[in-house]
Amino acid sequence: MNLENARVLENKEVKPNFRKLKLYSPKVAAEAKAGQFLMIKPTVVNDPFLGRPMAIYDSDKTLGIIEILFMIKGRGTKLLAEVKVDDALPVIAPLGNGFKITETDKNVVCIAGGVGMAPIYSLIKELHNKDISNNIIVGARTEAMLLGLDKLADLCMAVDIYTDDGSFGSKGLATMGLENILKEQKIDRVYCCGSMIMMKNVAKITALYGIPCQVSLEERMGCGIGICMGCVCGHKKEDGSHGLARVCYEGPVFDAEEVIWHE
Amino acid sequence: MNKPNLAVEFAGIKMKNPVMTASGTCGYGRELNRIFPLERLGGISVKGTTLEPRLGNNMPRIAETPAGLLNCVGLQNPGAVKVTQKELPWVVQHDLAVIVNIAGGAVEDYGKVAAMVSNVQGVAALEVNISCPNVSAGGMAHGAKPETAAAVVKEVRQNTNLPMIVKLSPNVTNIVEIAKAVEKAGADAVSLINTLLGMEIDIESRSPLLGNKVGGLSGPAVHPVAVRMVWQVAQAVKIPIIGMGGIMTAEDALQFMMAGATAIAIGSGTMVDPMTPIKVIEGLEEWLIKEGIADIKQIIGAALPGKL
Repeated sequence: MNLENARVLENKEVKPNFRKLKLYSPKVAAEAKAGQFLMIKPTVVNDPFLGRPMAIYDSDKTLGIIEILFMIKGRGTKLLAEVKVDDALPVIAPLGNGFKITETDKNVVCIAGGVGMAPIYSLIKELHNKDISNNIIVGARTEAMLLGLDKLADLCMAVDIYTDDGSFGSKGLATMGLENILKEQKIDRVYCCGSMIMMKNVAKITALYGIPCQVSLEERMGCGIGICMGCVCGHKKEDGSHGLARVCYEGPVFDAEEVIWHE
Repeated sequence: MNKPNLAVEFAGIKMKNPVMTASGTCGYGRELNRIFPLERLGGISVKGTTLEPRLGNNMPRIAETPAGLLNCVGLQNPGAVKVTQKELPWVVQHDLAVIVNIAGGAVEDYGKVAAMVSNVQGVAALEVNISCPNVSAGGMAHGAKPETAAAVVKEVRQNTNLPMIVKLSPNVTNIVEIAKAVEKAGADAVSLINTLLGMEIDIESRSPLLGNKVGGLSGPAVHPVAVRMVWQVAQAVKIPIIGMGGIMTAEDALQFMMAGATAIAIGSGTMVDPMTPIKVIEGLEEWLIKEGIADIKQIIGAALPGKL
């Protein structure tokens, strides 16, 4: 883990209300694993007071570059959207536990919902480098919220696309695509990051098919480093008892069967 | 000049410097020890420990506010048995003052937890939390009146020989009265302030944002309130004070010490930047050198009436 000021290399709109920041942060780029995140602030002064958790979208060890992808939602992301090239942004990273890749896996599924593409893209790249066959499903409410397709195209990956309104790809939910694949192919593992409802449904389907699944949870965070207990989720322990786990420290990636989902 | 002396000693607690991390913002030290050696700190006040395990409050537990944050974690902790068996033996191996924050529902619970913690070798002191705004039973209710505060202090006193620090709530009409009452009841020191009760409303859902509706405000927003309270309490009691509330820099810490605090604690500041406590220690040393002051103890209470 590093605390450093990352220099802004690029601040680009990728879709209306969605932006990508490219940052020079060699130490973080060197250590980052798929599914890990960073705490980032738009300025060096403590306003806004708290950092914002952001999944690492892409990283390049050689160039020392990392990328984040975000939706402009509140004050923090609005200020992040306005940063200029060469601004220094305080970053704590990489944080949390990323996706666990099993080298012997032959065929997996990755599902990204909306901005959930950020950690999933890192994972797709890593699976690609390890020559693990991968079925990619991308879902969004509408075409304007489909993210990361350009980067996936650069990897020459086939993508199954679903939008709620049918404005792009098939009309419907990404989980429909998952069920189709599970019916037709032997799948070793499913990875997902999207809305809570998407991840809950993916967890349900994979449980039904008896296929291991990892999900990357999103939560409002205080510190991002495990000291404040501000970002807990319901969690089943190994002995079967129910407790809480910190999304920032024990997560953000969990085995789907460990997570206690809200009704 | 030679390196100034940063060490402080109060109520039988020795610290190599006056900087502690505040309870609830440093766990039991394990996570911070991955970022800097825990020994750099003067002391650590570990997460509030209750007799039984507590799951805490529903999410969301954190809301950012202007110059600070609200939290409603609600004393999530694994309970006194696990804390005394698993957490404290680890943290007391480190060379710093380990202070165990204890909280309870019933007055008797405080006594039981105090007795259990006192059996762990190497604990420097207890910090009795009568000021948590995030638990319905006990917590702040105990600290709201001089009589109830004193009752908890007496109960703990009967169950421990360790130095007893009492953590005071700012959510009272007159904090000086509470400080005087706990001093009289046997407290060895007081720490202040705990968080200020507050609320954030989500205008989209038109309802309180936090899972517990209300939460405790901390961060730079509360700093002047906390400094004022330390300054008032310092003039009314003889026991030493640990000052806290929104410390981000050595200058913020110096204000507390000049107001009469012997030591200070950092909470929200560590959440925002985990190196804040270390930066404050280094900043205090630099400031003393710049001012030509050989010992930090010389500035304690410098801003109190009659000291100028």
